Amino acid sequence: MEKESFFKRFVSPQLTVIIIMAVSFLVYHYSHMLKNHTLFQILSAASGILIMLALWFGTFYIYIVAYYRGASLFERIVACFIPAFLWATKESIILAGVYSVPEALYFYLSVIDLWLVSVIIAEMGLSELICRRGARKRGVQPKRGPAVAILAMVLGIGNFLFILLWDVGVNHFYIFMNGYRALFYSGMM
Amino acid sequence: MSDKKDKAFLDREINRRDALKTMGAVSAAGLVGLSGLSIPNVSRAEKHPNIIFILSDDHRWDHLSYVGHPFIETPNLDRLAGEGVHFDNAFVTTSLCSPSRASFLTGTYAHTHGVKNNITTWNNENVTFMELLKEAGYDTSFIGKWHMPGKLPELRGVDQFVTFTIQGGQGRYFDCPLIVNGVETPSRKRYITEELTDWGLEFIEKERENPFCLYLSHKAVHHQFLPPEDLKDLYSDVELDLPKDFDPWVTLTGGNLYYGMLGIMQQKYLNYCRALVALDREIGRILDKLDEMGIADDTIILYAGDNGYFWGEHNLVDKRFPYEESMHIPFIVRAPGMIKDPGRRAEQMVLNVDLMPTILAMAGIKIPDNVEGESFVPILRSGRAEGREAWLYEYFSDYPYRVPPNFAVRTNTHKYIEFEGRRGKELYDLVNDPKEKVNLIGTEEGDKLYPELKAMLDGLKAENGL
Repeated sequence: MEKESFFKRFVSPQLTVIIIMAVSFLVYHYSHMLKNHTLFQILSAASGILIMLALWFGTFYIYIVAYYRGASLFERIVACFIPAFLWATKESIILAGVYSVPEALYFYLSVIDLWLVSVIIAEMGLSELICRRGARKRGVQPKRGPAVAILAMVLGIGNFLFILLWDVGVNHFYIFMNGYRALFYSGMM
Repeated sequence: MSDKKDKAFLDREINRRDALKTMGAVSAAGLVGLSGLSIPNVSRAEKHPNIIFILSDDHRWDHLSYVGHPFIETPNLDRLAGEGVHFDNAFVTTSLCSPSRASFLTGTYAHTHGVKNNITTWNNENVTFMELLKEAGYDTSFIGKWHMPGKLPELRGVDQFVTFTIQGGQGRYFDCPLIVNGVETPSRKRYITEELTDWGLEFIEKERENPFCLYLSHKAVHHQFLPPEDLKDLYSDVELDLPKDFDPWVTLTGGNLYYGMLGIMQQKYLNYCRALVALDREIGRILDKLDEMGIADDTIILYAGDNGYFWGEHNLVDKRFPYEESMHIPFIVRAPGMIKDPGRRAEQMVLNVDLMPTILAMAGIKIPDNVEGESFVPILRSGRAEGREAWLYEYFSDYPYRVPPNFAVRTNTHKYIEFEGRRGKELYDLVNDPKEKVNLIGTEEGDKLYPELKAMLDGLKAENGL
């Protein structure tokens, strides 16, 4: 694919998703202050949908757009992770309002973040396969075989399902909490 | 806060009662001796009644048919309330499982017994009422959810300890492996509420010389709010009366996923109600067993929830925050012979820390000086007994939940809350605004109320070394 500018191929795709996430988060958060109950319900429902779509499916948009704008594999991967990283950072900042900075940082290892990483990896794999198919139709032969993309899908979906099916993340949560106790409450076990 | 008046009052009552009994017995014996009739012995139950304390998990105070819930049917809890006293204003001093449970057991606040959240470990130096009952000659059994951080302790004063440690001590609704007196034991029944009740019934049925105390601590109705198979469709056609405060995404945002809320609020709520009906059914088995054995009149039953629960109020789920839905619990006592007007709804405020001194008073055992609760036996005996005017609420941070530490004072009419950090202060008029929707801080009314409530809270904190 023709390599476009750094801004167009790397920054713009993720910026679109980040802006959608940020605006819908603000709308969702502040809609609770509305006195008009109907408006509150509509805005919170709509903004919630956008947050979920941007956070959990934004990878498809970022990866595919970046691909067709000539971003390298490394650039595509990094671009996909940045919005989720920013979201996880927001969550940690909120926690830092109650806990210490190290405890807030530990939250990056939380169950939801693990799920998110799994989903992003799976979606990148699927996006790669979609893009390769599209590229072949345009007469462009991909450089690498599909094995890595397929592996990414399998690992990502597999880990997501494993966490989900093993008591809907509850057991992972207790593993996470055991780690927290070991780091921050050692000597009190 | 601890008021010694009630203890002294009760002591005087026992001494007068015992004196009268003795004089009466002597006189009667004299008369009987003359008449040739036999007299009954003074009942062992009057001095040392059997005691059953049933503790549920996350059971909101307003989810009983007795108090007018629109569709939930709880005939057995209603029966307890109808045959005893229902405390309309019962609260927990910390709205969180482990601290509240430790407060029930020890009669002290979280800052005293040390279990400040679901992470700080249980200090086995804490004295529980079970230990004191055992010293007084009771057979004792602790069955069910322990859920204190740290390893399972060797609980002093407990003859039988049946619990579970899986999933951080929360257990599972189905096929929950147990630990019976330190030994891993598979459960015999699939559904945990039934299994724990079976253990409780076996303990009650045992032949014994001593009075008994059973502490039956259910997992229900904690998340994942799973009902037994036969109740899984109950209330499916009912119109739910959920508040309008919450948005459709509340279970998935704000960290609420960590409360086990993945899914739709309405479905979770229905399952909560179903699990509650199952719990009520199991309580019925306990009541029936006591009737069958003919020991109902010799047995005091106390029922309470470890904390309340939000179902969308204030756009919240779970508990922890110091609002009414979270701190207000069901508390019912059936005490044959002690309650002259069964079916009364007591308005006086009682707390989880009051359980221990109450049980000890009922059993005629001296209440330790360090106990911070107050016996509510006087309230059981008379609806005109004085209740407390105000009390301290405390919450300490519990990772990873984003509820800031807070303290509050709750009076009969108002609540004043101080949160650490950005959330600041809140003040509510509970008479005119029972749903706590209007924060009076910064208003004219609030400015008038604030100085007294602030002084009250500061005083309570100072009293408790906080």
